[in-house]
Parts: sequence; structure tokens; C-alpha cells
Amino acid sequence: MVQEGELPTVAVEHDPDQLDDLTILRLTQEIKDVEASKNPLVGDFKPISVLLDEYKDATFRSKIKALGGGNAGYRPVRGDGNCAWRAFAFRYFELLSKLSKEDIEASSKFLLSRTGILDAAGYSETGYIDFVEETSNLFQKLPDMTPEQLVSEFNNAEVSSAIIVHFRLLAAAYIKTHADDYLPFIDDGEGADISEYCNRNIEAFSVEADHLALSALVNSMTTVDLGVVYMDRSAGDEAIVHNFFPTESTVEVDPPSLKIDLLYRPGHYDIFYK
Amino acid sequence: MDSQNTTPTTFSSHKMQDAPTAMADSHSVTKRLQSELMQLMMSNVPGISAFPVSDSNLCQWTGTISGPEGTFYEGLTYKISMTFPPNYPYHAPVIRFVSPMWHPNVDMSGNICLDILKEKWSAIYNVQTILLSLQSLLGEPNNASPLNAQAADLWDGNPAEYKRLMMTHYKDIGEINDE
Repeated sequence: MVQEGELPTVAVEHDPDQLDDLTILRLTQEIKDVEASKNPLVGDFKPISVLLDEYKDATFRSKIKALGGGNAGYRPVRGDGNCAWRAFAFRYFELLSKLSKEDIEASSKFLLSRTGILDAAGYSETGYIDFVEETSNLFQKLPDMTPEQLVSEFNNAEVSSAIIVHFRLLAAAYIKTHADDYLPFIDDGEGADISEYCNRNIEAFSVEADHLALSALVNSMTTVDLGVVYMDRSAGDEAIVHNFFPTESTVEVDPPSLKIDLLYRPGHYDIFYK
Repeated sequence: MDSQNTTPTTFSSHKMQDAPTAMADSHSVTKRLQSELMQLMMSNVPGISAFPVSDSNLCQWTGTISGPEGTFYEGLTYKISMTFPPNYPYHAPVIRFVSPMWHPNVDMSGNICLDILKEKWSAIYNVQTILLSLQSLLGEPNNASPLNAQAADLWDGNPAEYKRLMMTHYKDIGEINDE
């Protein structure tokens, strides 16, 4: 076991020339575990005023103050390249957990029916089934979970990583099945390849979500509106909010619509609570 | 091994052995690797194979790849090692050639430069897709960013010399197993 604040003593215990692959992987994991003990995958709610302690910059401070006091707050998510995905997925289930069992079931049924676009995009069932199953498991447990249990569930890397892959695949599948809509945004003038874009930016684990990824995620789920509060150095006393609305609305079943808010600071997303 | 081409690398051992400190593998990685092993055996794709080195450590596999037809590597078989991290499939396994491999994207220690094993790794990949990608890499190298510059130059520049040099490095898989 590695104590917090103490790095694994790689140099002392191991001659670098003698490291085999397994040892390298184990040492890498130990370093990550130390990091993880400092920053949970999904942290606890904090009032927005906590952010004021982090910033001296006047622009940031006025924007933070403009977000409001009272109940406004945020929930930090670990910055590991999956933050936007994890923040979105956690908030999705957190909002659902407050609804009736019937609404949770309707949402579960609907989201799992969206697996059809994975097939349409050419993903094989054996490739995605494990990840979709993890989402399905969480839906089943959700009505009986306490808020603390949901946080703890998302801090289990196996659970939240699987759900993140599921959501990443939904977004990638939406882009692949709506290539004409997305191609103009992907084209860098040297010929765009939808499949290559999805592989590099969305399917690849630990790659941050860009604007297109978030748009595709919202479109693929169809029941969620997403607001991203941009906390950056741009001029103005209030943070700009960028909204993502699904272009297709749900018709056949009727799961409740949700509104998710994320707080963006350059390079990182946390969950925002109004 | 050709010493003049040795790249500066920390990896020097190719021995397939059970590490004394076997990584505590989590339940889900074990389950996942068992199901991949089943799928691999059932699908029985010609030209590729892979299986765990021992029953006690499912995170260390050995595999073979046959060179694709119509390439320099046709008729040759290569041995690889696959080491799976505890957070597989969310992170890529470490794959290297155990057989000496003379190829633009493989260094003299068997390290492989292949995007899907690095920045393009996705959890939807599996042992089979890795083996097939490696097999196609043998016929379609990325000569723009080579680890072995000589091989990259000769690939188009002098195919006969490429084949000759490649064969001087080749070792039959039977010899590898005896090491």
C-alpha cells in the first residue's frame, strides 16, 4: 500500500533496465491510485462560494458571484479526460434518482432502446454489450439507492467507466448515422473522415469531450437538454452559457426530459447546480 | 539481434515468465479476458492465435501472428506477448513482439508503434481486433513515422533488399519457444 502524499519509490526498488511489462503497469497503477486518493472520480457538492477561494482574477470572481449564491454549487469531477462524460452521466442518474420508479423505468427502457443506433452505426453487439449492461444494472438499482450510494457507485471505476463507454458510443453512433450533419464541422480542409474523427475524439477513452461530442451526446439521448456555463477569461461580468438541445424529440415512449448543467473551466468540466 | 540497430529503451527482457509479484487482477478484467478467450477460440480466425501463459495469471498472454499473403511476411509466423492492465479494457494492453521483428513500426526490442494501442485505444477493441490490426500492420506499415527508419526506406525503395534484411532477422517460432 502506498501512503497518501508519498510517491511509489520506483527508483529505489527497481532497476529500470529490469522492469517487465507487468511491473511497469503495476507501478503506473500505483501512481494513479495515489492521485485517485486525492481526487475522487465524483466528489461532494460544494457551494459556489468555494470557487472564490481559488481565484484572485477579477473577471473570474465577478462571473462566479453572478452564478448566484443560495443553493448554487458544483460537484467536482476528476480531470482524467473523461470529466465531461462522467459529469454528464452522473448528473443524468442523479436527476433520475429523484423521480418516480415508473419514470426511471420509462427512462431506462427508452435509453436502452437507443442501442439501436449502435447497431445502425455498425458496432458489434459483442463489442458494446458489457458497457450497456452496466448502464442497465444501474437503472435497476437506482430506485432503491440513496444519494450517497449513487456517488459511491460512480466512484467505482468499473461501473462509471463502463457507463462512460456506453455514452461515448451513443454519441459516436449518432455522428456516424448523421454524417451529413457533422461532416462540415469535422472537415479541416484536407478531407474529413467521420470514422477516424469518432475513433480519435469520442471512442478513445480518456479523450476530452469537444463541442461536437457534447452535441452528439445530447442528440443521441434525445431526452436531455445540456447547459454549459463557460467560466473563462472572456470579457463580461457573467459567464456565457452554451445550450445544447436535441434536434430530434422523443415520440414513441415518453420518458421525462432532464436538464443537465455543467461548469466549464478551460480544459475541465464539473457538474453545476443552480 | 543486430546490435548496431539497438534503440535506447528500458525494455530489455523478452522472457515470458510469471512475474513474482502478480498484479491483483480485478473481477471484471478476469471476466472480460475469460470471455475474450472463449470468443477467440470459437471464432477460430486463421493466422492469429492467443491464450493466457498460465492459469494463475490471466493478465499475461502469448500470441502468434502469421504474415498476410502477398506481403514480405507471407509464410512467416511471429510470437507476441500481451500484458493486460488491471483497468483493461479502459486502458490498452502492452503488446510487443517476442520474435525478432524487422518492420518500419517495430523497434529492436519488439515495441510497436500502432495508434490503436496508444492514443486511439478504445474499450470496444479486444484481443482479436488487436491481432488483426497487427497482422494488417505487417502488410501496411506507417512509413511516415517509423521506429525502424531503414526498413521504412527500403519498403518502397528496394523491396528485394527489404526481404533479404528482414529474413536475416527472422527466427522460427520453434527457436523462440526454446529460449
